[in-house]
Amino acid sequence: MNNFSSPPTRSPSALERQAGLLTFFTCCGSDFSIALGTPTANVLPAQSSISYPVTVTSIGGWAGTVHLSVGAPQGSNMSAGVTWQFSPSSVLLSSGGTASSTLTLNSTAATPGGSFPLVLTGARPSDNYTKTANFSLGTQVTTFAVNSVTGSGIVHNNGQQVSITNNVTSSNTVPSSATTCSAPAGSGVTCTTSFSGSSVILSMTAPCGTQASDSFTFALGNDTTVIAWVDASKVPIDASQLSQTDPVFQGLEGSDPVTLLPNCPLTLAKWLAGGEAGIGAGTGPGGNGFSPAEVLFANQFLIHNSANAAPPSSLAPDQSGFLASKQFRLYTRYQQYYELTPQSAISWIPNAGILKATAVPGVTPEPCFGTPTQLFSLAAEQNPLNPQPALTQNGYWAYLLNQGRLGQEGQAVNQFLNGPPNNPDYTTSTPWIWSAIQFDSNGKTQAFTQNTTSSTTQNLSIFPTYWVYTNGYLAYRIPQSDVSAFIDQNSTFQHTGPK
Amino acid sequence: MLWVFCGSLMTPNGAGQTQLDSLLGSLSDTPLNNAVLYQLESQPPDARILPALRAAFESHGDKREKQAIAATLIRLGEKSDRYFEFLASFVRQAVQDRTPMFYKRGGRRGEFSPEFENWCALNHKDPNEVRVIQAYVEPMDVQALAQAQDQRADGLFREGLESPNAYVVAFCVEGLARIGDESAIPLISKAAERLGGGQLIAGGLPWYSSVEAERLFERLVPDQATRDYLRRQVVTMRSMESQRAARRAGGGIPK
Repeated sequence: MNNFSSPPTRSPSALERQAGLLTFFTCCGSDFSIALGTPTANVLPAQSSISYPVTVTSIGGWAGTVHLSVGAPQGSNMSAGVTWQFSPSSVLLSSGGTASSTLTLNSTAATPGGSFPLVLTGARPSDNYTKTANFSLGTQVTTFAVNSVTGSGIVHNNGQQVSITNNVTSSNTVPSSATTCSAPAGSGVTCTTSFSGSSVILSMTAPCGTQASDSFTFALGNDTTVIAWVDASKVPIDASQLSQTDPVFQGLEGSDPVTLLPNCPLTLAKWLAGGEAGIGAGTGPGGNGFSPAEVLFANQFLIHNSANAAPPSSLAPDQSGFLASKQFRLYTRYQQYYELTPQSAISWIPNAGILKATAVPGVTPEPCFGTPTQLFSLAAEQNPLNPQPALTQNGYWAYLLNQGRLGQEGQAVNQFLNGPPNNPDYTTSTPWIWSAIQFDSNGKTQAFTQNTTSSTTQNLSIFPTYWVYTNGYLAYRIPQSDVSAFIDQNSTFQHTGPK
Repeated sequence: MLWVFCGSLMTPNGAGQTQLDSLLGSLSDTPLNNAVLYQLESQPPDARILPALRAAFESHGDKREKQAIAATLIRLGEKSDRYFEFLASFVRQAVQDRTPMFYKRGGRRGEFSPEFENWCALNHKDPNEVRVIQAYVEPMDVQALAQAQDQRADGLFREGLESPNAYVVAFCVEGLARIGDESAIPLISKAAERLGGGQLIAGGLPWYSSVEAERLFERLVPDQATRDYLRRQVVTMRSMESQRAARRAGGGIPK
C-alpha cells in the first residue's frame, strides 16, 4: 500500500520515504492521518478511470468526521478533463479507529498524457483543521498504431489526430520519397518514414516516448480513363433496301413536301408514345408493322445521327473540359492505390486510397437535327448495380464499374423499333453498355475486351466504341461491334460486376 | 352465400392483388416507369388506384412524369380540374407561342430561318434549345393532353390549329380526332391549307371514324403506302388502348 499522510497545516511535520512509501506523520496531540493505497492501475488512460483506496486513521484518540477532496497544488491546474469523486466523500472516525474511502479519477479523450501533481485533502469540519498529502497522477499517452497506408495512424490522448499523408505521384511504383508523414503542430508526436524494398515503414513517437510503427506494401494503378462513344463512321446509314417513298424512310429523312418541315421530330414523338404503350417490332398484333429493312434503316439513322464527336487523343489533367462537353455515352476514370496483404491480395479499405473515381453517363444527342442537345429531361439512365470502387470477392481485383443506357424516352423509342410486341414494360427492351476499369494486386490494369455475354471477366460491352487513356494519353482504341448484335439484346444484357 | 359471391366479384384474386400492390409501390419510383401507368390502367377497378395516382402526381417533380400521371388519372375518370389544368397549362403556352419557326423553307438540314435566328438573337436564346422546344417540348405537351382524351380540351385543340408550329397543329388534330370533334374537320382542312399542304399534320386524322375525315386524309396524304403507315400507327395504338380498357372492365382482350 502506498501510504500518504500529511502534517497538519498548522504544524509542519517531517517527511520521509520508506520502501517506496510516503508517510506523513503528525507530531502530537489528537489528530488524524490520511493515506492513499495502491491504485488500480499505474497510469490513467484516456477516457478511463483509476481508483485509489484512501485510509483515514485516528491519532491520539481523536474521533469525528473528515471530509475528503482532491485538487491541484497551488499555482497549477488539474489535468484537462480529469474529474474525481470519493465514495464516501466523508468518513466518521471513532477514537483510535480507521475509516476507508475510495478515490476515483476519471479522464476524457482530451486528457493529455504526462505526470500531474495532485493534493489529497482531509478536512475536519468541526474546526476547519485540514491535512494534505501530495501525490502524482500519471496519465497515459494513448498507444497508437499505423494500420495502413490509407489510415490516419495516431490518436493522441489530447484529442488530436495525426494525419499521415501519402503523396503518390509515380505510377506503378512504390511511392518512396513521395510518401510523407506529418503530425499536427503542438501534438508533440513525431513521425518518420523509411523504405525497405516495396514496403514503407512509418514510425511514430509520442511525447511520453511511446513508439509504434507499421510497414506496408501497396500497389498503385494507372490513372485510367475509358470513354465510351458512338462512332458515326461505324454505323453508316444504308437506305439502299428502301425506296425513297418508304414511309419509315420519309418519317425520318423526309420533310413535308410543301413546307419542307422535317418529319423526324413528329415521327419520334409518335414512336415514343407507341413504345411506352408497348408497341414493338413485327407485323403481328402490337407490332409496328415495319419490315426488317425499315427497322435496320431506322436504327442506323437514329444511332448515326446521335453519334458523338471523336474524343481527343489526350486529356487535360483535370479532364473537366471533356466532361462538360458531354460528348460521350459513358465516362469512367479510376486510379487507386491499396495496401497488399502478406498473400499479395488487396487489403481493401472502402473509400480509401482513391485518387480518381468518376463514373458518369453522357447524353444521347438529338438525332433529327444532329446537334448535341440533350433532348429529354432523362438523357441517360445509370445502372443501379454501379458500385463505388470495389474489390472482387477473391480479393485480387480493385475495380470501378460504370454502366448506363438510354433515358426512358429513348428506351420507349427503342421498344417501338426493336422490342417485343405487346410488351407491358418498355424499359425491359433496352440493353446496357458498360466499362469496368480493373486493377490487379500489382496495380496492373486489366486488358480491355468486349463481350456479348456480359461475362464478368470481360470489361466492355460490345457497343459502342471505347477509347482507353493512360495518364491522360490515348492508349487503346476498341471499335464498336456490329450494332445489330447490340440491338438484339435487352435489359438483361448488363454487367453484374467483376467477380 | 351472396356475400361470398359479391366478394369474389369485388376482390381481385391473389396474384392480381400482388401485381396491383407491386404496381402501386412502383409509383414512387424515380424515374417513374410510364409502363406502370399503362399497367395500372389495365387493372380491374380498385379503390386504391386513384388515390395512389393522385399521391404520385403530387410527389413526382418531373414535368413529363406528372403529365403522364395526369393523363392516366383523366383516362381513369378523374374529373378534378387540377389534372386537366396541369396538362392544359402547357398546351396553352404551346398553342399561343408565336415564336418564328426554326426551319428554313427549302433550306439545308438543320438550317435556321432568318426570322428565327433574329428572334433568338433579340431574346438572347440559344437557337438549338428553342428548336428543341418547338420540335419536341411543345408538340409533346399537346400530345400528352391529346392522349388524355378529355372533352374539356376541345377549345384548346381548335385554337392550336392556328399555331404556326405544324408539329403542334399535328397533335391538336390528333386531340380533336380522339375526342371525336367532327365539326373541327373543316378547320383542320383550313389549317392544312394555311400550312401549305398539310401532309405532316394529317397523321392524326385516322383517329376519326368518319367519311369526312377519311376524305381529308386521302387528300392530304396522296400516297397510299404513307396512308397505310399512318393508319396502322393509329390502329395499333387504339388496339393497345382498347386492350387496357377491356382488361380494366374485367373482359378479355378484344380480337
